[in-house]
Amino acid sequence: METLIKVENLKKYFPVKGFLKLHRESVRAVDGIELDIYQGETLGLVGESGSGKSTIGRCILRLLDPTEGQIRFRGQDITRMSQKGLRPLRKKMQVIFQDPYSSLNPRMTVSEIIGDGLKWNIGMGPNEKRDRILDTMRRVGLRPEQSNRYPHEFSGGQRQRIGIARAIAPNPEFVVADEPLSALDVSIQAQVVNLLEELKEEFRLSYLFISHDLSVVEYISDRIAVMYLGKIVELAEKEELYYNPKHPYTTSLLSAVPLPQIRKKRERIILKGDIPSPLHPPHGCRFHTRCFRSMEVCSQADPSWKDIGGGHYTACHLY
Amino acid sequence: MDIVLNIKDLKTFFFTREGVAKAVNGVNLCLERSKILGLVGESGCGKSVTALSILRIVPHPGKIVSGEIFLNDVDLLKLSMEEMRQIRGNRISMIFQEPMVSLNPAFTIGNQLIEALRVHRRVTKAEARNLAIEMLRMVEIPAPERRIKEFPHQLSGGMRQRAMIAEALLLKPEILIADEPTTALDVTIQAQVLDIMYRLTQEMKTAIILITHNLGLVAEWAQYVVVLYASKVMEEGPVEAIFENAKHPYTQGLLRSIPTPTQGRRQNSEKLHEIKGVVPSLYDVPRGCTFHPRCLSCKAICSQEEPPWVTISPGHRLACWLFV
Repeated sequence: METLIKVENLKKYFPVKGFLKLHRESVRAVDGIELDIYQGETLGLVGESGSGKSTIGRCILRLLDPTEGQIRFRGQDITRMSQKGLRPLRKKMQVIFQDPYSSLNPRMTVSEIIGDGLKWNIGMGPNEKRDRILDTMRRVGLRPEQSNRYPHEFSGGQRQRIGIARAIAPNPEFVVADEPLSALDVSIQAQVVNLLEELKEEFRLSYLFISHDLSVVEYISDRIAVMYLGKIVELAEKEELYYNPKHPYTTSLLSAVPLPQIRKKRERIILKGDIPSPLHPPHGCRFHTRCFRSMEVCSQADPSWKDIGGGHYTACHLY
Repeated sequence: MDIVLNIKDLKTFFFTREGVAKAVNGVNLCLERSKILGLVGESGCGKSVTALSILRIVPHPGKIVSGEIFLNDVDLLKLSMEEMRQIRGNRISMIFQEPMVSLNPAFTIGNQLIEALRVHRRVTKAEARNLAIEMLRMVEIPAPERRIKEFPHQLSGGMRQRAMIAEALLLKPEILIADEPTTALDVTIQAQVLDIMYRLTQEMKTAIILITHNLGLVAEWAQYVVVLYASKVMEEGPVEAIFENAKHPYTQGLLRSIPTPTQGRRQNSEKLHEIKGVVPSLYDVPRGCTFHPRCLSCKAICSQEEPPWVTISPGHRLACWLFV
């Protein structure tokens, strides 16, 4: 399979100013991750809040500048590319945001919002642009006569459709979907999931699907990466990950998801304590403070990222 | 059956400039002692307003228009404000969704717990403090003697929600209303919080109304389920009946629209079930059955007349013309 995006040793630190700027610390939002996204796949990225999921998505799109590491898009290094140099690539890499209430400019009409995404499709005439906007609207289930309306006139689900239309109008190859469902009602979520799936087939898209909802990620993804405190702890094909999780964090995360069925009462692993602060992550394996299989070595050495067979990767001293 | 709370035909409307929003429109509900009742529905279906109505803290311009709410044998809607104050936080308490908003940022955790005790019970400050520390220990807050002096912003999200639970259960209420208690929390923390809540309420024989949009939570924790849609109850019944034998098209649609890990090995062409259309505006609720514009089995009568209640099996009832 062809690699679309290759991320190597990506780090992103956010500086925090201490008292009177006497000491500087940094929040290690993303602390050395390796990730490949293949052509035509949906890679799910799950983890709890503050684990660095969105930061990865934004670094790949160069909406944030990485502190260290390398990001390649179709083999081309874009880590240090200038904003001007990135312009031709912008239309190939798009993003759908979480909150359709704050991510759409309230002073722009729907056609202006979608048209804005076409800014870097240079050489597109006004008529062609107009057609593209209307076609895209129809494709995502909005009526063309709604093109001169403003976002507040739409419901949450329809707003998310506007956000999706804005992202796919430039005909991208890669879309980061950053929690696209969490602001929507259950009965509307299914509509948006199905739409994203259809668009993927139709436009041959690759997704990085970021979410904390494990059921949805499992449904939509081909492969899944699990994050904890700035690191990816496990990555595998979805069946493999769900039926054969290796990392204790993945196991406990999966067991904590409440399922809408009553037949199976599962053995639950309830983790103790809270997620440590990313300002001072624990030494060694970052999960060892909450891990139920923690060993001596876990608090001392950082486990390395290993392939344990069949494209199943994990970072844990147990393996 | 040992019923603690019985709501009969509750109607709570909001009188706004745009018109009358019927947030709760004829809700009936029965809560058994030390049981968990799951109240599920999408945003704007009237879940939270039902809860606020029980405590009679519906914000302006909302008004409880009619109905009865019995706590044991007392109709709460007939009590004076002073009598109501004796009940709130004491016999019925509530946990809100966002703990940062519902804890007062200007007072320490200890202050807030001790105040609740001193208002409702005749205890000295020292006794209250000890009880508060004991309660914080029960919700598994480490080093409660130290935490009691801290302000809400010094605690993590999960710990704040546990402090809220401590406050709510401090006076051993008969009823605990938990309005989306874990929505702001991560899954692993969510499991912790619910586990603590469950164990404590079982000890105290407290009944819980668990308000949520997460059907998974309801399936795992509740014994009885009430499904709300556009300010009305669509279907209610024991948890087994709702999750394995749902009859109402809305409940069925809702259950089928959630991906579950058993679907993992699906065919590529298989799509997730979707409920077409959108939730209606409360200012303009459809005539007849409120769900009929989105219903796949809609009949002529559905848009004309409100469906009557039909009992399928003991405790399992629904309002749908298909079963009349």
